[in-house]
Amino acid sequence: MSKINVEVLRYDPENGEEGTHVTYSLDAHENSTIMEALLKIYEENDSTLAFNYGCRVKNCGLCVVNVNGKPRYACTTRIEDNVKISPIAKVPVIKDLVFDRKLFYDFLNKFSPYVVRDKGPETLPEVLIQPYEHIILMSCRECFACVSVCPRYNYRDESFGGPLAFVKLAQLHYDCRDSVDRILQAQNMGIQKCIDCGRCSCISGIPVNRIVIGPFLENLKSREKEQKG
Amino acid sequence: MIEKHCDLLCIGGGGAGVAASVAASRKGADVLLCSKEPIGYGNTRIIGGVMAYGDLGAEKTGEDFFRDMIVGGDYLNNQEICSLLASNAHQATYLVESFGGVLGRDKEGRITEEALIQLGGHTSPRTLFIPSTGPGIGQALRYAVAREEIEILENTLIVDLIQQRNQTFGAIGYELVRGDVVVIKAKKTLLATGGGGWLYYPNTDVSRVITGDGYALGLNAGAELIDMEQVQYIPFSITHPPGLAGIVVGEPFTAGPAGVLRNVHGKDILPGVYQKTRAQVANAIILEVEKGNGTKHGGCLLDLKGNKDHPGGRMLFEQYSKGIFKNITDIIRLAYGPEAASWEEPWDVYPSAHYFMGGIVIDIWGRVKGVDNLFACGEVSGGIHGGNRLGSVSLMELFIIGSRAGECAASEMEKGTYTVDQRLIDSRVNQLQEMLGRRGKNRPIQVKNELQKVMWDCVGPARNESKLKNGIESLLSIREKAKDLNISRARKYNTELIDAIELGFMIPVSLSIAQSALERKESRGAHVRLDYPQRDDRNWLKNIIIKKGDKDELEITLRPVELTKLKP
Repeated sequence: MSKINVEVLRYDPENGEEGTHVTYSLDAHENSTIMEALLKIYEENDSTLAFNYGCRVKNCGLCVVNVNGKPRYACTTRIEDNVKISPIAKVPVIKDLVFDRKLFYDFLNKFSPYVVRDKGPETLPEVLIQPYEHIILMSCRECFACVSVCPRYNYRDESFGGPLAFVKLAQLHYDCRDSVDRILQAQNMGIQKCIDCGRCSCISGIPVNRIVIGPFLENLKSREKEQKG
Repeated sequence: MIEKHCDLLCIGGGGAGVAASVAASRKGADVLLCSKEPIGYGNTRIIGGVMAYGDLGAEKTGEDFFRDMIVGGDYLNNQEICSLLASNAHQATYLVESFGGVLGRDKEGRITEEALIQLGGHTSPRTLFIPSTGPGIGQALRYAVAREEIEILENTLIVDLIQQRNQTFGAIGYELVRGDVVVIKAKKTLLATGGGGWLYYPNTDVSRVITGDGYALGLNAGAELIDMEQVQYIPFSITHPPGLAGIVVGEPFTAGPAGVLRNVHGKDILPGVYQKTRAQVANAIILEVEKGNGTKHGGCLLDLKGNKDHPGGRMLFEQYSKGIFKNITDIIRLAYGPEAASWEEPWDVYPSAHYFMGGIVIDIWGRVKGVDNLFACGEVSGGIHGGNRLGSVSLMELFIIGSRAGECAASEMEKGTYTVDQRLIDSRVNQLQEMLGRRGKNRPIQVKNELQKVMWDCVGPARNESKLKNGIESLLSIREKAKDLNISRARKYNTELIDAIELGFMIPVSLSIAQSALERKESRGAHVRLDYPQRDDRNWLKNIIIKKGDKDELEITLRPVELTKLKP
């Protein structure tokens, strides 16, 4: 057990100010996590600190924060002395480390974000082969880490949906039951404005570039070629 | 203040609340779905990744499945509801897939024996994997809500039901983001708030919002709580370090055919552990540690190594190393190191609070007994699983009963009304507003943490009369402390207000558990009394019912279990 310093970016919307960096000193073990530190601050020091979490085992995706500037799950990231914790970037912050997801989902809802079927199942249970891409995309934590590191994304700008929205469309694209042209929707969401920097690597391990951005852009290119030809 | 009107108010945005909302909406009801977290979260989102399907060829009769539920539940179960579930289990798979989820299949994409697995306490393979695990189901829930015209209200904590003379008229809530009080007038109200595992934090694997809200809301409205002493402790969770303690790493089935559960001296304490029920395995660990044969961290040792060379165990190892349990392996690595993560070294494990079998008494349509226009479904309802819930059954159950409750509420809309005495609402809204900026001696989180410690130490896995009496006494003093709270004035995302409101729910729910546990003088299901170690069928084939009396105190009555189909 040793004393460490933890710096947290605090922001209170009712004070209308910019955030302030507050340093807390607390005890930590070598295996202590960011979540443990936040809970310690909350329980022992200041219970107005707002942060989100659910399962404590990186299943729910609610606890993502920036740790020294990079998005990480608070629950399974080891803490170190002089660590800096702040809300993830590019999202509307409600208070301290908590951000608002609503704007994003309101935007997504314009694109029928659910399986749209031509016809119902022929048998019950249905014969259903789930491709690897669908399995892994449906395990998306919706944690917003990918949008927070996207240089192109801005939640106020609806002309570019951002990596999470593309992932949501790709879930449906790889779902053999869905009948909507999700790649066309991705085009309408501005996927071609993606600068293909590859920074939206998923902290939960989804190969976003390899199974979403790459193939979608490729597909749109060949569609354009066909149209020209 | 915001005021809203709807036909059906669903409180809780996990699987049960969504299933009910969708079913009611499809029947034409105007539904408002309200949740503390975003929709599609709660415990449904963090499930391990299995759901009961039923026996192939016997989906519609479900006799074996029914018997397993009752035997596994030590005969406390509501047999009428279990019978309905056993013979309709497969419908849950159809429903989840109609929402957009996908359950496991064989290589040809069919549900055959190859796709089914057998969990502890089940006598045949009847459970499907969910390849995308909990988040996959969570996202399917969001799909389903987006498809219907359901109004949603997220980040909203329901504070009280609007009720008068055993009838409900909606609810009052606090919307965290804007900091508004919300009054929702509804012809029908449905509780789908999940269980209460957070009463045992940190010794629990549930989501942090699972603070037992619905039990307390139900009690206040006049509902009965049944068998609240029956708290399922999932046997294998982490014992140390403190930040990871309580996190689940497996259940009996994941011990695998070659897994061995040992005490600190290396003795196998429960041969055939992988086929036992959760209660049997948890109880074996609890009793071994009580005997002084636990590790220095207070656990037993789960040795999984043999599975790596066992044809039936190899599949499990693969699920842990790269399949649906990969997350757990990451946590094991963090807690116990790489050798444990590759199953070369055993894991130090102890049970952790996972699921409440007890809860609000409902009928087969989710109607709450004794309260008009109130429904309940999912974990907040009680009595279905008796003394022990079999693995993978609750996910199925919440979809089946959730849909039925939604349908039933929609079809009985003419009986509901939201014409209610406005003074009832105003006084409650004032009470809520007065909590903001209240000056008092105690920080809500500290009282909450104190309650959680009492629940684990005195009303936890290993119980006896003196511990329970001490527990009740401590809870009563906590109830006094909770009258003197200090709460910040902030309107938006006031975390101290959230703690204070949740604490107000946790106290009566904790007392219900402690008093029921003191009452049941036997060991049955998940309820282990060190002073009454045997199951006592002669005296205790009874359900314990808790209700709020005239003076707001909790009243206990005993009711013989209705053994309509199967007797011990």
